[in-house]
Amino acid sequence: MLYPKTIARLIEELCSLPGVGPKTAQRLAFHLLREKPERVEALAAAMLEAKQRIFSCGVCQNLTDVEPCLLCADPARDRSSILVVEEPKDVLALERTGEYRGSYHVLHGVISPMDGIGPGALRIGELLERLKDGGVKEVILATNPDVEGEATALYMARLIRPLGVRTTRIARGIPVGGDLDYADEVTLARALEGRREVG
Amino acid sequence: MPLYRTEGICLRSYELKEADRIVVLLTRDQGKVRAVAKGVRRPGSRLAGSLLPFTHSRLLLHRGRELDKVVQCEAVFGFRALREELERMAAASYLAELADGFLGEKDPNAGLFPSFLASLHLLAGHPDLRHALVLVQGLLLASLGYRPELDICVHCGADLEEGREAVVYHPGEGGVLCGRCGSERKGRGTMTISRGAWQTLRRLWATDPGRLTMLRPGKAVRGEMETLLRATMIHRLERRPKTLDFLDLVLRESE
Ligand SMILES: [Zn+2]
Ligand SMILES: [Zn+2]
Repeated sequence: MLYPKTIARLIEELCSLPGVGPKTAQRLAFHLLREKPERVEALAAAMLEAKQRIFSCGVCQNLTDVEPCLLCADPARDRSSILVVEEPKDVLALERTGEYRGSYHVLHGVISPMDGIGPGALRIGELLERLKDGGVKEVILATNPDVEGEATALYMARLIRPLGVRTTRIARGIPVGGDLDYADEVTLARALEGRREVG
Repeated sequence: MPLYRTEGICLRSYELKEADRIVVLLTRDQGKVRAVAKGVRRPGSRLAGSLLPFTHSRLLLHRGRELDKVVQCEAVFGFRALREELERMAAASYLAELADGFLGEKDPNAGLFPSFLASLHLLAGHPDLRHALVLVQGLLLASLGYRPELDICVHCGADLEEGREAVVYHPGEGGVLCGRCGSERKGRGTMTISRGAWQTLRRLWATDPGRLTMLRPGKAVRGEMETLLRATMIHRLERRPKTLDFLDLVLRESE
């Protein structure tokens, strides 16, 4: 079907978003065209403002609109421990647990050889920089427990250990509320490895 | 029948929507299959562990119009070393990228599955990974019918002369050149390999896959074999594999 140029362009731009195929892009485009002008303006303004005002924190690389970010500026956070995650959304997930009081480092990605993404594309150098002054006692690697996340953790552990900083990996095992019988053998094997004393 | 059973090895996967993945499988009897694995990114998914890359599993699949769907899946062998040791993971990624790149969808190749499985065992367990890499690249080319011609000149058909001098190989033409054709084409996409490397490559493709590990080239010859095998892969794939940079990086660092 042939659309006016402006609609075709909108569809094309929407198509470049992750997870949006041509059909979804078309649906979104027509949805926007049906909306009141002020709704569309608000959306466009929000996108633009976020893009203009958000940058990565010079310390932890998390997305922020102040430098350093609120977490890095918080005097109550323990700076001797850095928890390394793949994406900003992982920081939110960990903060929701209320369990962790240290600081973070966001890699903005993960080593993915099949996609041609190597360690150079991640914020690893910035992390090593933070370890230089000796104040950090532990780095906790909390990348996802998939192949890419494992590879990234292994690679980073290799770089960090020689610096004499304790390097740990988050435990993996049976999910809460899960059935032993329901777990696959890899998960079971790891859960067994990660066992600890009770009582 | 929309449902079918097969065995497969996950070559790679892509995230799909919130919690699903598209898995690219090398199956025993259907060739390369792309299938949706529903909910596999949710913690506790019954499918997740047996669809990790490089896992050999038994599958029940539902044939779909564009994509098949994984209905059931049970791991046969997990190849943990390929996910937990960096060099081995990089090597397996390279092999998987090659297989994924060379194969069309649902184009059965009876010899490929057992050879690929044997290759994963080599990459996971061989004490010398660089050695294993040479062997598995040889196995892959052989099972795809891409074995280079090493006995006669691919240009004029003459038998390769006996002698001690280096042999000219042309990845683009898929084999060696005799002395005369070789000197005419020197520098135009050709490379030279020592007689030793040439001999060992011939032995590599003449050896029963089960006995391949008996082949133990020295470091220099192995390096030449690696160079030739890579050049052949790149020519066949028509691009440089994306996994090569990372593989070289971790291999270099492990030296
Ligand atoms: Zn920060
Ligand atoms: Zn010739």
